[in-house]
Amino acid sequence: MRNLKEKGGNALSFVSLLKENSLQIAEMVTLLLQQEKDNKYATLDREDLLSRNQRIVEAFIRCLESGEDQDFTDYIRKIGHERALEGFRLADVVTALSRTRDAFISYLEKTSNDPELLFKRTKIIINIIDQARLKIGEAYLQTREEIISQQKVALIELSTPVIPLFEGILIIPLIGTIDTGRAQDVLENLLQGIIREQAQIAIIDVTGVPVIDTAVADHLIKAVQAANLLGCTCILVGIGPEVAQAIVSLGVYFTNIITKRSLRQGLEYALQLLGLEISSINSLTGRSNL
Amino acid sequence: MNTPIMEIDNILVVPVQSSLSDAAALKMQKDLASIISKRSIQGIVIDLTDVDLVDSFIARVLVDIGGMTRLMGAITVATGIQPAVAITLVEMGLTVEGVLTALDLQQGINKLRLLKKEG
Amino acid sequence: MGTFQETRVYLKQELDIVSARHAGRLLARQIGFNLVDETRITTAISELARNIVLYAKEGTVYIRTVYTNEQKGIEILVSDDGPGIENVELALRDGFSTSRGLGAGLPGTRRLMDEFEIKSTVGVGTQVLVRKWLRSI
Repeated sequence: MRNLKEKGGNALSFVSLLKENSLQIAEMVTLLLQQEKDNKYATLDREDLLSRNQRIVEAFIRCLESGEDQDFTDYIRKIGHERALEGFRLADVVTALSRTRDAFISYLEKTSNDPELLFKRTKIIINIIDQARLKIGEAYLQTREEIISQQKVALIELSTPVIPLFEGILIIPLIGTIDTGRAQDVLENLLQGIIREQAQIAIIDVTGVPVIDTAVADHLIKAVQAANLLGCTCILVGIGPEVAQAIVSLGVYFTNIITKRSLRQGLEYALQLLGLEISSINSLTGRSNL
Repeated sequence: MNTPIMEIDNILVVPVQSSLSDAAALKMQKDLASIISKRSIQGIVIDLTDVDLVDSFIARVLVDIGGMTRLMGAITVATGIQPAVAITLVEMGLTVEGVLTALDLQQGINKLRLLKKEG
Repeated sequence: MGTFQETRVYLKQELDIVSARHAGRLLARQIGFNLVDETRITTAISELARNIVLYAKEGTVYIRTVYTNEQKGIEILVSDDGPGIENVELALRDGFSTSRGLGAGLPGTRRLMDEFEIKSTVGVGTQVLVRKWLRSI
């Protein structure tokens, strides 16, 4: 905590002067920001913008008054975090702080008689705002990074869906290239899906996977084996002859890898395993009118 | 150290505790062998829900138990293998041959009864 | 590469394998590995520690955090003054085993970790060094 307090009787009156005129200063900030092209703050409704600026001006004055910057720093960080969530650009928030600085300095210039004192006070304001710009940048970027991480997780879940059918059957449609990272996600999602849905059969459809080389075949076999350890039988569908070659060339661990040509055949087989079949309603006897 | 072995209608149920030392695993195997030799048992359900690590030694014990029960005309089902454990086993190349698996204890018992019924 | 936070477990009896696993799991968790990686790491430690107890009779496992400029991870060094491995290449081949274990020990461990190095001299001893790095999404 740096010592921002001015010494002497002048100091108190300087701060009270700012306090009395905080609205005026906030209005100046508002005016400056509304002139900024491309700044999101400029698109805000005037009342909204003014009250935001009032809050920051008052927080800044409290900082000058108390002589310590911890509260102000916390406040600035909070703003950085919130604006990041609201979709402001980093440039928008940093510029807003710069205009706040400009408004304060401009006000001091107008009301000061003593150039030396003016210089000292200007320096203090510039220092505080410099620090604040750094803090707001950090808080903003941290929040942006958290948002991006969350989006990545959501994307992974979207791209490796595990769809429960009925009777403990899962369908996993794989689409697109499967690299090592994605294969790991598919594997974990598959196992979590088996547990969640108490699935006994998982149909893995690779029709939509353009390239299945030995590496991908290896990943698939791994997934099947892991599912087997959870008591779930896997049916691979959509495997053409080239892919069949790739799997055979790996030579190992063939037990419980059932393959069918199409999803339809896979589903029919799955139902068969469970002792079920699909038939039309008319063929059911003794069915009363609903 | 002692893994409890319970009996439900000719099926032995073994809820394995989380930190299974090598010695405890071997003792469990010995106890199971002893019970099976004396009684007519349809099978064993070994529940690994609480087990957070299965390495090659434990895997070998499971395979041995599976082989032993088969020789005596019974079936072993391992249940509740945790996803992280399943992934690790598969990556290491351990497939626990000769041991059936099921998602949980209940499904394991069901599987066992179903198989025994089919003869 | 920087290293911090080291735990050492002296391996002589079978129960020491459990201690080594436990230490590994704790550090892996602290570093921030997810559950699957945590399990991989702990299982690798179990395999390596057991090799010592079975073949070398005694040794030490060192478990530490490692850093580079870009990554953070875990490093495990298993060291013994035992008989050494005569044919390292053979030992690294799948299915090789001299005792009742399934022989998945070394090759299996290599597959679980990102980096694997082994140095062994007959009559002098063996050192195995493995590392796993935090996976960034």
